[in-house]
Amino acid sequence: MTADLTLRLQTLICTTLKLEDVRPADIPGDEPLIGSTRLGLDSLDALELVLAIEKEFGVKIGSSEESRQALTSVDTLVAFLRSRQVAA
Amino acid sequence: MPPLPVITGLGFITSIGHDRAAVGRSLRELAHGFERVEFFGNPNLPVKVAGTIKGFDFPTPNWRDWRWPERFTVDRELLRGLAPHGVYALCALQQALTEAGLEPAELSDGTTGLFCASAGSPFMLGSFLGQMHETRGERGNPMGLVSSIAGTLNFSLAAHYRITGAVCGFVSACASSSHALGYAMDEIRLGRQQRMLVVGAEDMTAESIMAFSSLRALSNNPDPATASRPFDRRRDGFVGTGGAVAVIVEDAALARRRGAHILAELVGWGQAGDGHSVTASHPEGAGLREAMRRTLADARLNASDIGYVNAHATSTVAGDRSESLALHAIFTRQGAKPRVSSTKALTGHGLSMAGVMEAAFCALAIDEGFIPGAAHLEEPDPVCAGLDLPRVSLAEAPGIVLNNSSGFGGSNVCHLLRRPA
Repeated sequence: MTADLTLRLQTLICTTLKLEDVRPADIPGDEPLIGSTRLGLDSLDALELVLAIEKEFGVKIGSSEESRQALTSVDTLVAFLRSRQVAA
Repeated sequence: MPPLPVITGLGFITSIGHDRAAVGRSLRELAHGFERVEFFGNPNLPVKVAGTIKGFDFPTPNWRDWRWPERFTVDRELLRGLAPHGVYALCALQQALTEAGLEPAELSDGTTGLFCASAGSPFMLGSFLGQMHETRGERGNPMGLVSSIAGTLNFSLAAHYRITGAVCGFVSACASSSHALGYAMDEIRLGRQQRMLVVGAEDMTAESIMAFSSLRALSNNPDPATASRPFDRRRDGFVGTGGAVAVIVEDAALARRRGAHILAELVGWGQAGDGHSVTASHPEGAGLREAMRRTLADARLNASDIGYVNAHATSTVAGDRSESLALHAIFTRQGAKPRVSSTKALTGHGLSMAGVMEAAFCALAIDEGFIPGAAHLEEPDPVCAGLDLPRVSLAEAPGIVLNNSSGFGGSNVCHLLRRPA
């Protein structure tokens, strides 16, 4: 189930941010999402991702601190969604 | 003598071409820029034609979906604060700066200002507000405001080019960029700035154009070859367009010192209100007549000195009639008979950008020695009797040129341009 959720998140990141040169499965679970030179995402990309995740999974990512922690990597996003009882 | 403003660079992203050469060719050959369109994916709409901007694509408000011709450079950081017309403007300004022989680094010492005109982006604003409604105000794109409201153009361009001189946006509907150009002339004449970048731009989207359908101002003629026919008896409304035009205005002394090529001198401008209606022009063109009179007075010229008038005429029944009457009052009654045409027959009506687009066409005509013809004119409205409306473009120097613009609320603005002495 975690693998499904991971792939769903990887796919959402690629489609939301239109990362044309990156395949979903190529985003390592522990790769930093923001500031990574390979992904090239910045804080405005992060905000777009927050909106997309909230819409896709029906959750609220409250404070900017919560958002910063959740968006550290795909793995932390999976953990965050698990804590909100989101199933794949 | 106060400093003389002159034009040293032009840039075009228009329905009739994306550079000076293509635009000049279209104006000389009377090749229009219209195509059939289906706004809102609705085949039932009566509006079937628009002045499309080829090679650019803005299918959604998400900048990641946008495409433009490869020869233009638009960097990602800038892109997400822009509306579609901001992308057009950037491409037009790059051309104008190149023609003027200017590097971006030369624009930030405080001697260069930037005046812009656009109506903002209903396309981007609709998306931004939709997102706010959807999240009940809890979320919004951080760049949603600056990319959508009136002023988006000057916000983005001023920041990108690090302009530290005068920066302002003008909002007077279809006279907006004419105001921008007129006040830019004043900045030079008053010695406040040595150089002004003047940019007019509009989105070419259903949201920008179809709003005018509610006012019954748009043509319902489905034929791209005849939908826009200013001064013709069968005209039935204007055809909308977007794009961007950039004009570099400089103090003539600076331009000569730099060895820049001067396309045209800007020798006068003026404006007057109709004091009449929020949407309709004065039935006798009273405001436009007074604006022309003030403009001639500003340049200390007479009606008989004018060789060509680039009319505002948008192809609406009432507007073209008002302008014809104003032209008769200023010219015909004094025994003057300049050539007259409206290039909107080729481009469509560029709304806020129309004035600076047509001033740029006038500068091009002066520099290259031709007069754009009155395209698509077959049966002149009887009210035009006595006006010289050439059916083809003429290979003759236009002499001193008058450029007319009118906008909502009866704002009328004119400029005078002439070949450098």
